[in-house]
Amino acid sequence: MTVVAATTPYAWPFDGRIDPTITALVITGADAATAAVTPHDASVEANIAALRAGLAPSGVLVVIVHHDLVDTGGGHGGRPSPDTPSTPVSAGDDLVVVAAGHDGFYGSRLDAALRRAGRTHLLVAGLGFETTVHSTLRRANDRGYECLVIADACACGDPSLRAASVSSIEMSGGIFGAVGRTSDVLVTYLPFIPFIPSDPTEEQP
Amino acid sequence: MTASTGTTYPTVAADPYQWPYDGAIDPARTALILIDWQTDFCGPGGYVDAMGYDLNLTRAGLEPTQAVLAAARRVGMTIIHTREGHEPDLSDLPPNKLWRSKQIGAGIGDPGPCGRILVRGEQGWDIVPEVYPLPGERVIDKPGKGSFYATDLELVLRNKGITHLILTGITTDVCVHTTMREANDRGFECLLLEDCTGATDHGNYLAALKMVTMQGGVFGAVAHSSALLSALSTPES
Repeated sequence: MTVVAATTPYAWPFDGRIDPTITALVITGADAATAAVTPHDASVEANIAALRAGLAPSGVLVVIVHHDLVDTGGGHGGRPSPDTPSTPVSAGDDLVVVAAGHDGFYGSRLDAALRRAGRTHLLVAGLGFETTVHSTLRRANDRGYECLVIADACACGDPSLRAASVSSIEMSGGIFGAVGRTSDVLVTYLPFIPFIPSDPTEEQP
Repeated sequence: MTASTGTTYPTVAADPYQWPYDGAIDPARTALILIDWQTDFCGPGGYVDAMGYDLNLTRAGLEPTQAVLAAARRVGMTIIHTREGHEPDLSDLPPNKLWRSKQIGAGIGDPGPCGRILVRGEQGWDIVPEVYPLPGERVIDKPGKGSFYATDLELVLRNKGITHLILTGITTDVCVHTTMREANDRGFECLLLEDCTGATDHGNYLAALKMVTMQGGVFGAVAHSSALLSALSTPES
């Protein structure tokens, strides 16, 4: 049994399986439209970058979720942009899925991609804590995925709703999973990064 | 199927926009959704009670919901009830959900004062008498928080030509919000009635309402039931 340190309301994951090969980092709200309605938060953006860079070498699958909301319909009025919006998360070499709603599973290949890759444990972060992160988390949890939300890697649309976004996960013994921190997650998966010794035949400068 | 009488009703004063966005309320295209008004979530001896939460918070919306239910029945809206629960063999219960419920001392499937907790067919799982379904009203049994996951709710709504949803139920930040998010992603125009819902934590209830109204109504709109009742007592045609 191994767990991520200092997660609430329980030591995540429930089954003690810290294994990069069954784990995915899912970054929601990575698209420009979500970034445009999410106030810039430098520390969140740095944490997302650190998670991507630190977890991928251990074998954690990194999935970037874009949300294309044009088919959602509805007459919802203007979406006021914050003074300084977030920077969209670049796709890089990671797997990108496009969802048709705030929920990353809706109208996307996310579930099929995770199942095919054998990923049952999800580390969730992204832009839009109250919107894309929560909608994706809720659907993942109903589907039986064991989820850890990395709160300091989630940017809020309205920072006054951060505490409730965390609290509503922790109710009833972790109704949608558990909540943790970037540094504790990185330290947990660090030992799985293979050590590649430098080639002794290579000429040293 | 409820026959359309052709009568429509005026829009409702809601936050952050007059609901619905596309004009009058048409009962033929609108469904009232009553989410998880079960003993397990708002009755003595049920699941929420076993976890030690204050039942007054989850019961607060019951009385206004009764009035809305009566009005919706009167104007001929489709009425849909949902229930969260699992098969007696727990084959539809994810292992982490079972584990968490046992950790907090209210294990799903364990015996309680109202029968096995959150198990279909048990007394605690049934809907409370105040808003009990009438014959002909569809009841959706769901294994999760969202009413659309692993259920035929979307098929039922599409078959009936429903495009607009009015939501009541418990709890606001969990099953109601998850259902509203799912419905909004699927293009349903949603209204949440703020006094017809409640949560185990009042701060989370308030935050859940505010989240709906962000960004011009990112998940729809929020109104008091009195505004809806007033609209439904004023036929337009």
